[in-house]
Formats: sequence, C-alpha cells, structure tokens
Amino acid sequence: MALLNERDTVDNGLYGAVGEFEDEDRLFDAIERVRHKGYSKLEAYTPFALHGLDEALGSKPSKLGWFVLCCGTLGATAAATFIWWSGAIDYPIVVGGKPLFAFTFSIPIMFELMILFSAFGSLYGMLGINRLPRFYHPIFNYTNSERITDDSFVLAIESEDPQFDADECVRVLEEAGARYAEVVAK
Amino acid sequence: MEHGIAKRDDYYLPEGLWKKTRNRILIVGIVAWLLTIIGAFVDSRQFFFSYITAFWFCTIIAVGGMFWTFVQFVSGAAASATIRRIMENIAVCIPLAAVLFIPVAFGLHDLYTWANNAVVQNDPVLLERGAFFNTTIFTIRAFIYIGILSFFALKVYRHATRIDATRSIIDGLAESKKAERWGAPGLVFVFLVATMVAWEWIMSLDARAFSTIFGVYCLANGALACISVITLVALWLRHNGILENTITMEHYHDLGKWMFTVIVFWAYAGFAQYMLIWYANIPEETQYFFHRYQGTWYAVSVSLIFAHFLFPFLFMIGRGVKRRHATLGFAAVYLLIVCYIDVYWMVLPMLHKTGVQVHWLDFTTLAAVASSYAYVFWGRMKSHALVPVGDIRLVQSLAFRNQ
Repeated sequence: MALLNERDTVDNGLYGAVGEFEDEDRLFDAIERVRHKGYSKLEAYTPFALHGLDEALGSKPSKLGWFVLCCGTLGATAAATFIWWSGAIDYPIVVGGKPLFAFTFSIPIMFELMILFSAFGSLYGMLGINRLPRFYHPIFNYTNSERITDDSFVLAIESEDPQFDADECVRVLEEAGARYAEVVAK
Repeated sequence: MEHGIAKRDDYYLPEGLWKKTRNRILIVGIVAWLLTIIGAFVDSRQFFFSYITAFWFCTIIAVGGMFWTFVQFVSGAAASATIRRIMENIAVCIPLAAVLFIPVAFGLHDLYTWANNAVVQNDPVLLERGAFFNTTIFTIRAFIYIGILSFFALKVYRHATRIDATRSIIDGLAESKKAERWGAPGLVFVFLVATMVAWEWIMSLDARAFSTIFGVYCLANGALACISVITLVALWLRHNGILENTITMEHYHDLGKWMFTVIVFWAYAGFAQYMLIWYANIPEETQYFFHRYQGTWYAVSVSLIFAHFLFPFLFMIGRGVKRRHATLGFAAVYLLIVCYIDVYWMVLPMLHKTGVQVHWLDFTTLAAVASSYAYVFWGRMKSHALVPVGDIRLVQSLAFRNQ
C-alpha cells in the first residue's frame, strides 16, 4: 500500500498506457472490461465521433451549460441596466410620449445581448474547458498516433489513475482485446 | 433487410384496450354533447362563445399536428419516425372541423360584431369591410379553408400510411418522397390558412382589431398544445405497456426539446405583437389589449407572461427534466392547460367585458369538441400500425441517441 501511495504523488513522466483497437465494437467492449477492473481515468481517441462514448467512459456531463446560462443572464441584465441608466438616469428625455424606461422596448436588446453573450460564452467556454488551442498533446508520442485519424480506435489509461501501473495496464489492455499496446511518455 | 422489425403484434393496439378507451371517449362525448345542447338553449350567447373557444383550441391542435407531420417529411427526419404516426393521426382529424364548424355558422350574429347590423350601420369602417365580412361569404370561406387543409392532410396521410404495406425499402422511400412532395406545399398552406382562419374566426370577434402576426401566434400556441398531446399519448401508451421499447427516452427528450422550442417561439410571436402595438399606440390596434386589461382580465394578461413563458422556459431548460417521464408528463399537462387559457383569453373578453366569468359551458363544450376529435383520432390509431412499420427511417429512429 505504501508503494501505491508513493506512486500517486511521484510524477513518473508518463502519459499513460495506450491500446489500439480495430473497430468501435472492440473499443466499447474494452472500455467495459477496463472499467470493470476499476480504472477510471480513461480517454478514447477515435477517427470519428461515436455515440455513447462519453457515457461508456463514465465522463461527467459538461459544465458548459451552466457557464452559458450565467453568460446569458449577464447579457440580459447588462442590456437592461444600461438602457435604464442611460435613458432614465444619465440623460432622461421623453421620446414619443413613452416612459423613460420600460421592459417593452428593452426586451429586444436584452434578448440580443443574451444571445451574443451566450454565443461567446459557449465558444470561449468550450475552448477553455478543452484547453484549446494547443499545439502539443502527449497522445502524439504514441507510435501509431497518425492512424487515430484514419482507422484505429485508441483507448488510454492515464497515469493519474490511482491504480496506474505501466506494465500492468499494458497487459490489461492487451487482455481487453487491443491489437497493440504500449506505454506513452508525457 | 427483409423488414425484420415490421408486422410485429407490438405495433398494434390490443383490441380490448382500444374498445375500452373508445367506449370511454363515447360516454364522455355523449354526456358532454347533451349538456352542451341543453346549455345552448339556456344561454345561447355564452354557448357560442364557449363553443368557439373549444372549437378553436381543438382545431388548432389538429392544424399543429399537420405542421409537425409535414415538417418531419419535408426535413426527412429519421429521429422522429417512432412518434410520427401519432402526429399523422392527429393531423388527419382536420376534416372533422367542417362538421364542428356548423354550430359556429349558426352563431355568427351572436359572436361577431360585423354580423350585427345595428353596429355596422353606424360604423363606416365596418360598412366598407362588409364585402369581406358578411355571413354568407364568411361561411363559404370557412369551408374552403377546411377543405384546403383536409386535402393536404389526407394526401400526406395516404402516402404516409402506404409506407406500411411496401415490400422493399426502395418502395417505402418512394412513398415517403410522395408524402414529402405534398407536405412541402402543404406547409405553405398550413401557415396561410391558419393565419386567415385566426384572423377571421378569432380576431374578427372584435371586428376592428387587426394584427398581422396573430395567425402565427395562434399557430405557435396550437403547435405547442399539439406536441403536448403527442407526448401525453406516447406516455399513455407507455403506461399501458405499448411501444415501451420503441419510443425510447431519446424520443421523449426530443419531444421535450420541441416543447421548449415552441414555448420560446410562442413568446417571440406574442411579444412581437404586443411590442409593435404598444409602440405605435394607435387606438384601433391598442383596443385589442384594452379589452384584455379590463378587470380580472388584466391579471390573466400579465400571468400569461409568467405561466405561458417564464415558468415553463425555466422549468424545461435543463436536460434532466426532459429525460424523465414524470416531469415531461407534468410539463405536457401544464402546457395544455395554459394553451387553453391563452385561447380562452383571446375569445372570452369579447363576451364578459368586465372580467373573467367562468361558466360551466366552457367545460362541457371543451369536453364535447375534444371527445369528438379524440373519437376520430382513436379510430385512426387502430386502422394502421402505431409506427410506420415499412419505413427504413424507423430502423434509424430506433437506434437514435441524443448526444
């Protein structure tokens, strides 16, 4: 047990163990087996988007929605506040017999700023959560990494996993049906 | 594929359940119609106003059903194939509107100010409009509108149900293409006719009111009520153990997303109408809202913003709510009620000008008209499979997952 804890804290310079599968069915099968063994820090790399992959990997739902909700609320509030401040406080002028401030004429602007802030929030929030753009990723160190964009389905057990042991993980991946598996450096 | 999924017993309603439900619809219908007929003699003015509210609410749901059906075909949607037959069955109820319109045709003088000679003689604007708004032409036009809608609904329905009997995927797709061909112009006519009937049947209750977006507003309300009905039918089938594995959580999630979309669209149309009238501040236009600001009607007007938009918007924004049968079912029932209140708010202020006065005829007419539509709908539910069994899109739909 002492060794395991020590390994946790030491940065071993490894990204993780990576296994390559021939098709998505084998990948899904392997994910199930690997998770069954208790591994939780998993990541999959595939040539195309696979439905149900997030759930299979046990990823938590994205927090982006909450972020976008906050941005939208901020946009709507900002618009209403500015229209109220500029029209009713800073420079009050009666136009066309209308009140100095009313939601009736503010709502279109509130709506627009809500959409604008939400759009910015979802784009930049998505980039931020994914830490994009970035020019380097450890998976590039994998020998066959070019094939991930072509025809190979890759499953990685990352080194942050509490159960991580390089050789053991390679064996687990091979047992789970990988046609090839190796340890990948950071 | 040799139609591996087709012609399974699961895709048909069990005879016993079908009959039991039909009998219930019949009993409710007969009782409601009897009470309604009694009410018509007791208080004919109240009867006509209650009746047109119920008639409009149920008819616009059927028109909403046409909208949803045609959109599925025109967009070639595969995800929705498992719930499409329910939409088709609602859409094809529209010819019944021709029969249900008859009581309205007898009540024109009670309902519409433009049909009241005493009012028209003293109003130069209404005298000018007499060429368009007179009882004969109005009635003829109403049947033409229902005829146009029925034509497209039946055409699309015929091809949509023919898919069931096709022997190959190619034949199935060819029928589906034909439904699409009729659905595209049908969609144009749904919007045109819905706009016209909304103006003539509902807005002209106050003969001098005008608002161009009124029809879109009504159709948004109908589409929302319709998607709620579709959800409730699907949940009811599920409750009885039918289509449990066919209409999956993914499809319920989609129904929830559609509800959410139309809630926003309804608010958009409603606000566009209100804001322009508020801004221009022309007496002829503002009187529509003036009538709805009297007494307790004001409370209804304001609470519609919260009840019909803000609450359901915030309630349905999350993913979890749409992916739970209980919350989705609650949303459907709730939305159906507020959609009816919206229609009630469009019609009844023209009768009870000082404030809300709920009358028992409001309930019996609604039960009568709704059960009449439900009876036709229920007949259709038995005449074909509950899902388009010959459609390749059904296979896609069964495998569909939201990401």
